[in-house]
Amino acid sequence: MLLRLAWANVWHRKARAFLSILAVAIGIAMMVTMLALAHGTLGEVADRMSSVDADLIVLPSQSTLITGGADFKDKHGQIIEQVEYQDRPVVERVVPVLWQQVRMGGREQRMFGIDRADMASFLGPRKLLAGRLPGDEFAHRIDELRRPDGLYNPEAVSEQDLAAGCELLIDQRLAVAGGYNVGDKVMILGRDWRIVGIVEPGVAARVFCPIETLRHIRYAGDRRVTAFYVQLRPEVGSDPILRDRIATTVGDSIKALAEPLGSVQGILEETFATMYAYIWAASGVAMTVCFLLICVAMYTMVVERIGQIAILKAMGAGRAMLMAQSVLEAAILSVAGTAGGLVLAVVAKWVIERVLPLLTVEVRAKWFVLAIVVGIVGGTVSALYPGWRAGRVEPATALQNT
Amino acid sequence: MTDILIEARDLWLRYGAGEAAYDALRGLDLAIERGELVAIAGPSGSGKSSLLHILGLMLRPTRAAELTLDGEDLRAVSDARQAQLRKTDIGFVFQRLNLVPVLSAADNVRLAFWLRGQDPGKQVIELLERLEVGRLADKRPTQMSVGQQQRVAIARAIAGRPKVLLADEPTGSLDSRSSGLVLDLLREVHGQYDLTTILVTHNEQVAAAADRIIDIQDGRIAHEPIGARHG
Repeated sequence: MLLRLAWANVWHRKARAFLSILAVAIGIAMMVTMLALAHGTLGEVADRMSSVDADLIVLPSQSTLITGGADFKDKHGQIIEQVEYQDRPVVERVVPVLWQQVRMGGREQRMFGIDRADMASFLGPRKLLAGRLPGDEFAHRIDELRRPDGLYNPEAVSEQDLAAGCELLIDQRLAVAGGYNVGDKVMILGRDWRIVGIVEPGVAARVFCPIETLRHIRYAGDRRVTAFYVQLRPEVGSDPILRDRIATTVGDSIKALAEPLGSVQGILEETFATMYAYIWAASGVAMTVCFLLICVAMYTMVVERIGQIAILKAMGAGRAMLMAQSVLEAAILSVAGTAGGLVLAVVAKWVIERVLPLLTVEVRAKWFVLAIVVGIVGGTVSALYPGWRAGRVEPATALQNT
Repeated sequence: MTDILIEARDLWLRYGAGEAAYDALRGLDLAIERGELVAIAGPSGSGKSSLLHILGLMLRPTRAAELTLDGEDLRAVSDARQAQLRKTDIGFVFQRLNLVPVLSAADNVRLAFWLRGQDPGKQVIELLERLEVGRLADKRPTQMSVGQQQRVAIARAIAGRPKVLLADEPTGSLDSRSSGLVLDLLREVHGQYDLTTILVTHNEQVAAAADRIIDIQDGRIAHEPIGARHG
């Protein structure tokens, strides 16, 4: 009977009920979407960064995973290859990478310059969806020009040679976001680069190019490296404790920062802790405003229904029953709003991933559970004061004044 | 030997404070026997509605030498006990604003049973049919005439068989024909349900329908007109 009365009261004021439900729905959708977007995008970046077939990433000590920073020399890779732990060689392979920020698909992207020979470490099981991998003709041409000291005369490189080296491999999400196809040309670092292949998403970078081309354009052939991906020997790479110790040893060997790839997610989350705090705070404010709106709506209902409350009290309804009625009405609004918010969040995910395909909205079950708890608890709490006021209505006075 | 159901002695009710203080009841004495149909009459502002609200446990007197319902001292009962007594022992019919507007006639009556912790079964429809509003069971108050609403209100008030039926100007919003019908109905249910009924009215014709008329003037009982006590 109480539910019937609560439902009848909510239904009696359809417009206000709808607006209250909409407010909660927007708040819930905003909370879930912001969390799903932040965690999803960061998680996707972390997954991509740790997708490389390697155990460690080594960065100059002044660099960070997010911004990069300083560069190594290629010779540092040779030092890492020689690292031993307890008098045993532990490094299987070292893959140098040169990072370059480029603008593609309407956003800043981190382009990875890598050797053609190392491509397999980065692609793993992901398939080439169109075209081919960037060629290594330019690298061969540079090798031909190198002197015994490893350097070469950049002036000796013809425009035709360089044009052959300006090839890009991009991932499918960037291809969708930018509307790119194989054969398209993109202006990067003042030159035309040709997209020669499109790979499945999930690879470490959205854009790959030949490392020697990038070195030639940026550093006149100086063999710089932004990061080394280090693959350990199988017998040590599979032991997490040993891997952590070797990471320290590798880092110490060149006074750099070496991190296990598996810890990238944690490092990124730590780096973006402030952003998460902001998201939680913004979500909290949004939800508080929503529930204040419910509180105001419920309070207005109490004021409007003073006659009805007086009748109920005259019939023997106590404060607990009036409180329960208020809570139940708010719960109806909150549950409907929460359900609507979850639907909106799913719709928002669908829309965001289509309009902005480079973003990842990862709607986790725990966000849904959180939203349901917040919706129900928030709705209940927001009804307490109006319910208390309803219980304080003096029926005799109310009946005389209404 | 008399069977007193409601008794009040030296009943005072003061509204406001200081210079704005106003005594609505001034040392009123009252005794109502079980099964009586009593009319409390008097002009507007005489304190009759205030008295009804005190007897209906919706107001507490400022002071009273005695105030009992079926032997229970009402002067110091808790709010919860007051609510409980309103639920089980008292049925109200008001002049207007009688029904919960968002509920149908049947649900209004069902609500009374529910509050009293009773399963109405078929009693809801039976009650409404007995009061000749059975066909309005699914209608909301806004879809009924005032007279029909009063009938539903009476049905709701007697649902669960309270000891006391309190009616505050029950015909105040009705034309003379509807007034007569509602009065007849009140008398009928009073007899059928063994109720003690207290009517508040400023209408002499309505008061005349009661077994006894208590005339209130300025917060006190003026007199009980000779011959007003029937039966």
